[in-house]
Amino acid sequence: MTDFESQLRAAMESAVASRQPPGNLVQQVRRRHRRHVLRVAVAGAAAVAVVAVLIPVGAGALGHISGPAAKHPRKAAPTLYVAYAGNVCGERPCVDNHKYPPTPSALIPINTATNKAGNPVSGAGLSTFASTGQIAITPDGKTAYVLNDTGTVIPVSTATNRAGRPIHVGQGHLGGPRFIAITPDGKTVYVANTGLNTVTPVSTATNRAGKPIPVGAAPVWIAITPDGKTAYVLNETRGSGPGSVIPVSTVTNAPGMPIPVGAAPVWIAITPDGKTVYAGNGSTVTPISTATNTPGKPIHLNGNPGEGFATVSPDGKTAYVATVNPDTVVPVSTATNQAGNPIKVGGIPALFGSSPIGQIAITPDGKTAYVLTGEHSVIPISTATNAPGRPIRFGSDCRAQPFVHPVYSIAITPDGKTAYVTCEKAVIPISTATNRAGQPIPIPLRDPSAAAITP
Amino acid sequence: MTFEEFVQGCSPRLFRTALLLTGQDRAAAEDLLQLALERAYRHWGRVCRSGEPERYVRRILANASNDRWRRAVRRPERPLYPNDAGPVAEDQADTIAERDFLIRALAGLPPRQRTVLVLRYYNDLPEAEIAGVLGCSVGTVKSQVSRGLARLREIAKPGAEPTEMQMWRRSVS
Repeated sequence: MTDFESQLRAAMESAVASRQPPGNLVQQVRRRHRRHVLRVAVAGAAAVAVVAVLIPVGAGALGHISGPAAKHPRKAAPTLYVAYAGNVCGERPCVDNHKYPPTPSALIPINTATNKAGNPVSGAGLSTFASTGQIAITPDGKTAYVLNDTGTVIPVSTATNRAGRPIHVGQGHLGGPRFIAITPDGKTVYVANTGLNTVTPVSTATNRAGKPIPVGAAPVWIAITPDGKTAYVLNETRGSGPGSVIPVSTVTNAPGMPIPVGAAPVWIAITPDGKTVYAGNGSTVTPISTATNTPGKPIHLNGNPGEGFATVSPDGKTAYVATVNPDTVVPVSTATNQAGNPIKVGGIPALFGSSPIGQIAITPDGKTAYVLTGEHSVIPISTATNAPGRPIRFGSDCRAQPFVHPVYSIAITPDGKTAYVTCEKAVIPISTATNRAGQPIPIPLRDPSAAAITP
Repeated sequence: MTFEEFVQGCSPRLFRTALLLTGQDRAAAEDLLQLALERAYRHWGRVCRSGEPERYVRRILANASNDRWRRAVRRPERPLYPNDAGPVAEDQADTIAERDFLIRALAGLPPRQRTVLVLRYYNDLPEAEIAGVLGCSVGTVKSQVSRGLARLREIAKPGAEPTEMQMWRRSVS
């Protein structure tokens, strides 16, 4: 080794010798991972919301079209799209391939009538190394927008299963976009550019990105009111400061005043009547009145809602909030903002001493809430009694990794008859009538990152 | 080994590698490390069973860093110079200035060259392993190392044409 090489080595050593990683690194990784896993829950929730909105729109449209539509009511079965994020070897060869087989990114359509997986959707932007994330489907079901966290959104035609040209939205040095939402009229897609502190509107007519809207630090979640007038953007905020929610007018794309919520918020959920937005963080849930855009009294829960996720029932009466430690689902009355008795959903102590529960999907009729748990199971909760039913368990397709991934995501068909659960190696249909798992649908890829069903 | 134990034991070393890879940009290094650990966490069972979780995470760090910088070049938004150089002791000012200079010069190298130098001299990896990490041939690693060293020497050479980096240093000192 030459002098210069030793000098360089010493320089490197001394430059970083005293530097320490952040103390809450494990927590940060966990949060990041949760975001990765949660993407799908969002897609599921969006599907439910879309159904609610679609009914009046669909009825109106039929009224106009009259005859032919009624004579030919044959409608293709909804398609379940499952996104797979490729791993680091996806783009370049890994020497120890035998240990970590590369997985390419892909989007796989599954026909919900036949439960058969179609050919992967191919196209630019769907095969990159960075994860293919959330999926948002337009209310007319014609286009699925897939978020790629390298900074693009890829439109996929659901008729042909072909991907269009990627739409560039933005890539900050702290990471790419993390959230995508569609207005109920299907005209605009909003993308949260977490690294750039902006939200980019994309016109679905032209598939072009509009001018980025400046919002607060680290936008991570967007909830659009059912009337389509306001997009509420959750800013996670970097560092330890309190997070905020910023209302953005979808007409003018102008951001409003930030509404403070608790520190490190993780999710927001909106009631079907559009009157209340709930924001959850590590210890509380903050209700926000959309009439005044002011935060109400925080609702304290026994467990930690910041690790979980919330879904509001279709009748708008109850927000089901998943908490970790203890692992429960807490029904919160949207009328009084009072937390009800926590529903125990169990879960074995997983990697960090708590099970990664959190994704909840509610059937369109509002009768059953399905909760994913850390013990490779889904627990149906009757919303009438708030009593947990018998856990629905799966075979080895969902149990390949003993530590990490049990079940990833859940999405319910618009008719409410089937709930699809994505597992490491397969997608499993559950009959909502019997709460029994059907024949697994094998998928050649592993580790789904998101799923959504067309209306 | 649980994931938590692994992070406790190995994260300082991995974080320092990330710092060098990102040119001492603390925020970027934290993000990079988080990204790498999250990917390991997804497959922890498998990664842990492989017996070398640190190696696995380091490989993601190196590749993700290259990838990140490649994207950054396409969309130049990165801070050009380190924004958080950390504490520096007052004595031994000369040696430290010299070392500091080398590190800043390192930050100015093309990402791939910087990555191979960090893996070679900070992580002490043999060339064959670096080739494995980056998925390229040993020859490429060798040439990248020698080119990287040559460029650093060039920048560090007294009386050399002032580089952008040196101009910047003069402007701030």
